[in-house]
Amino acid sequence: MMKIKNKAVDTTKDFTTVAVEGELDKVGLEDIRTELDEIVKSLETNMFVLDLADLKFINSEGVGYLLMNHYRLLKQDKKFVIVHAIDHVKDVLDVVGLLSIVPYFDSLELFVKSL
Amino acid sequence: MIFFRKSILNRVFVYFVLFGFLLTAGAFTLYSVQWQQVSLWIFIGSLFVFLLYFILVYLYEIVRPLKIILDEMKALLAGKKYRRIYTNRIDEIGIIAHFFNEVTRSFEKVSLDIKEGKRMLNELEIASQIQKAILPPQNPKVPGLDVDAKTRPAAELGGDNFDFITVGNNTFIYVGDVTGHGVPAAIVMTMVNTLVHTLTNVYENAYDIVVQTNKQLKTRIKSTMFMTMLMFRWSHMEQKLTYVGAGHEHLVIYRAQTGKCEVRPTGGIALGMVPDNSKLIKELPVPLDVGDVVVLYSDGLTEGRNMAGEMYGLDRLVKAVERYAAEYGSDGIVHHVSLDYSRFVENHKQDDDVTLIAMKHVGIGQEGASSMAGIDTATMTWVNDVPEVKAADPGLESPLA
Repeated sequence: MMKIKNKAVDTTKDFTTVAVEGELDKVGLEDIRTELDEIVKSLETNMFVLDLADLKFINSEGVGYLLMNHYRLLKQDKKFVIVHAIDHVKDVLDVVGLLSIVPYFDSLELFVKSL
Repeated sequence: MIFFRKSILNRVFVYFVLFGFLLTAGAFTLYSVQWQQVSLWIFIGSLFVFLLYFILVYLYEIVRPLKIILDEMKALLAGKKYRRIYTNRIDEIGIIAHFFNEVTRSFEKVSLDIKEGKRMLNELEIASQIQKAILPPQNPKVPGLDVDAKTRPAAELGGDNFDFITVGNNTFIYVGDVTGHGVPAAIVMTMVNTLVHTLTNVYENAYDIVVQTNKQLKTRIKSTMFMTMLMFRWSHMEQKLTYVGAGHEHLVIYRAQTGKCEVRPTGGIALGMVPDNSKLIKELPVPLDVGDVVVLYSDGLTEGRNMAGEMYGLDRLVKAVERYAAEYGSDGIVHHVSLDYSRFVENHKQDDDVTLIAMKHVGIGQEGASSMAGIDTATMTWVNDVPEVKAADPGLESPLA
């Protein structure tokens, strides 16, 4: 079971944070795809930050979905950022090379500091 | 008029009233002409006409249409040819006829769906056969290298891919894993296999092949899809192995001297993620001594779960390789590691395609025993599909043989 745990918009620093919870595989993806698609589509800020602190597992289909969002936002001249993934999830993102094209920060605070 | 057409009872009632009216009119006429003069035969004749009228109404309005419906129902139930029943009636007979037509229409739709399902299953079966035919039919004869492979798709069609391509004095060995499984993954897998076969005839190093494969692939697949890949080049003359990682799983290298495995991240970026990966990948050497083993696998192996939801993981894979690598050739290693995996996952549903390849350096002038073994891509049996083999059993079958 996958769900969107929290959504926060920081208009001063121009980013929207979405925290997800669960396992991002084929089944989990179906649980949040519509909602997350809508958030990305109607994004009012220039940066979209995905907080993966409570994501327990991700497989290649989950990575594929994140990749699609990266290109979707790039097309809108917006930026996709991933923060706070647990070791296993971060390893998967790193191994497939997603982190060489999508910026990653170990915490939301570090991302905010980088702005 | 609607009242008359809506129900058989209404219809009978209207006929009855109509005939009663006629009868009353007749009786009144007879009475007016002094009914005592009317003969008995005229009276009986009138009653007969009355009776005949009701029998005809009963036969033509109820029995005959019901018989037509029942005949068609019998034909349907007996599997014989039946026809639709066309009627303007909106009473009980009309409702039954309409119901019959709707039921038969649904049957025909279900029947068509079943036929379409069968056709699609046949096509899937053909696609599955084509995909199996794409995988190498047998383990390659590689001077100095003993290679064995095994794969099992999670569905009829899989996204895992591997091949051994010898061109001149080089053998290219690659393993790839497309996002997900099923038809889309199988199409990408086929596309990559074709590209790699073509490009190995054009380029002499793994780096260029991977760069060009990515370039062609990126323009042809949707943005959610990608394929991780590990491409090796084994030089027959130099007896040297190099590889290019494209976002694939860690490389496991068993060192015969220490009896331990070295786990190396493969680096790079998966094919199809960026239009140009030339700056993100590089070709690296894997120094090998005789007895060393390189183990390749897809994430379906390390992410395979047991009934408790626990994953097989890289640590278990490494331990299994260390346990069997010294004692066995590549076929035995693949067999025993896959057996270890199967015992771990037990009967848990296989969620992803699983591939396992072992390459053992056997020295110059040597070819592994398994290199002559054929790969049975028709059955793709995994270890839990074949009888258990004891560790000391000399008659090991190659898991793909």
